[in-house]
Amino acid sequence: MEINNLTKKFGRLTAVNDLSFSVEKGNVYGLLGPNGSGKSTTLGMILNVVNPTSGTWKWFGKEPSNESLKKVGAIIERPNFYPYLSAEKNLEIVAQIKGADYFKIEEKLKLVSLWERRNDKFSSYSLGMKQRLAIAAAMINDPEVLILDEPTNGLDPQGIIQIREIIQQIAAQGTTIILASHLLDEVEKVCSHVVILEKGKTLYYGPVDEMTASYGFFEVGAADKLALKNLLESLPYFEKVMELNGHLKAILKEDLSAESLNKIMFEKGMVLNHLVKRKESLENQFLELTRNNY
Amino acid sequence: MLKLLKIEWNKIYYYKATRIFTFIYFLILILIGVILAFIKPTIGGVKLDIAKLGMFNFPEIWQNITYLVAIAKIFIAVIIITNITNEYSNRTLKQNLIDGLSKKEFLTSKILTNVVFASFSTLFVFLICLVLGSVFSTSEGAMWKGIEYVGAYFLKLNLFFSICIFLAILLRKSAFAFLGLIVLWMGEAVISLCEFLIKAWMNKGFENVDPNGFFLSHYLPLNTSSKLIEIPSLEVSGFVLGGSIFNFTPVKWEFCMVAILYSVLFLFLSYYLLKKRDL
Repeated sequence: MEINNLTKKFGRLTAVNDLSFSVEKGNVYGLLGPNGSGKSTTLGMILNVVNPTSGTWKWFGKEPSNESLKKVGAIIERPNFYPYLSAEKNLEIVAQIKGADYFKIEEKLKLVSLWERRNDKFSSYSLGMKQRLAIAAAMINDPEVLILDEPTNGLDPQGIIQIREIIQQIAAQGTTIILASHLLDEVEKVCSHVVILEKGKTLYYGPVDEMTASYGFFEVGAADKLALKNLLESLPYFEKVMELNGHLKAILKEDLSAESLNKIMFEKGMVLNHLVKRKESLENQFLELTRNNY
Repeated sequence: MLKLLKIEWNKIYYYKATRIFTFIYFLILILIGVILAFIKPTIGGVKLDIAKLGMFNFPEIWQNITYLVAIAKIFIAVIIITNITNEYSNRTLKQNLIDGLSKKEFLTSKILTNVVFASFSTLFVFLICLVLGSVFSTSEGAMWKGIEYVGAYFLKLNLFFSICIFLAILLRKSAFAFLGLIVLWMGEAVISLCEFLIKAWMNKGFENVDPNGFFLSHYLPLNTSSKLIEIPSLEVSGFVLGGSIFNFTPVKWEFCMVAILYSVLFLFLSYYLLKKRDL
């Protein structure tokens, strides 16, 4: 899928501004951004429910049509079903629209563990069950691309874990997934690539682990903290050394393995009681990126 | 086409309220026929036998029955409006489109529903007229004369249901769609009254205005609908003479044409709204 110069204006407000990116087969993409950054509007446009002001997009290398949407599964914001129909009847409607066989209904309801409750009305379901039914509906035609917009919004921790497990299971089968979220650890756990939006513009687009050029940092501890700090500062590898939660945080300016650092420390007569090498979390990187923009 | 009907069937039939009201609607159609045939009320000491008044005589029966039964269309209007506004409030319209239904297919499925309801109603009315007529008709007139009223009834239902689709898509809330219907109805009444008053003013006196003359306001949507099948005209002389009091008037074809035009217009406007709006 590729998007070229997509723009949407609501009156004076520009929700999506000249957005371009492409999605390769088989990857899991995270669409990140604070609330109101244009994630849902972007998805709405490529899913044919929001009319774009300008710009184009393609599905599977072709001009968009409702036929291409039949090969896409999507869940937008909250599960939308007929409340008075059972799960099975609701999926029948989806299967009719997408041209899927009815036997898929059983398979997908089992995938999300709702087969036992298939005859219950949708309105009697808990939010977690509704969200799982939405995933079953999106999967009914074994789509090539699965789009999930805030799939764990409002769920309890157990529900979040269930949904996340299902997503990982689907990703493992080679389905391309686009996951829009403002929950960064969620994206970090499942995505290989990210697109970061801010006020309708792309801030970053690429693999998760190349998001910032940083080499990560060490968390180190020793009995004599002051001596340790002086020693670290005298070494050429670090940009900055600071105190953090009882340990020292030394930010790398070049690549250095934990093994090498330990060896250097030992040679200098310093015995460490704590040594961890870490990468900045996606959350910190994200905050860093969005802060730079202001 | 069949696919769209199947989808609509799931949406409508498995909704308990619509199922019950559809059932009641067709029951009412039959009941109107039964009550007219067998209930003979006594008013002011005079036993009123409408069959003897010529109510069921061919060809007047076609107009009389279609006129009476058309009132029940409000049942189907409620079903159509709630069916569409529910798609908005449950956000299932949005989901249908995301799942790959086109906006054109969505509207087509709703129009098909209208046509199915209108067709079954027409079939029921046709059978009721046929049965009542063959049992009670005392006239020598040809049976099929005036059957065009059944066609007019079909057009009338389709026009009314098209207005319902349009209002439901325009206003997206069922309560407001019904209000819209009332506003349209009252608006047309006010416009008709104004036209009458203007004519009276121009002709210097109410008595100089021919109520059966040409009125532009008759061509407003709901007025067109009521002009399609007008109130059966009565002749008191017939009652005095003990014969039929009903007077056969043929369907006015210009209103059939206008009704078709309006139906197409309202459906086109609905499509335009659906296409233009974001969900």
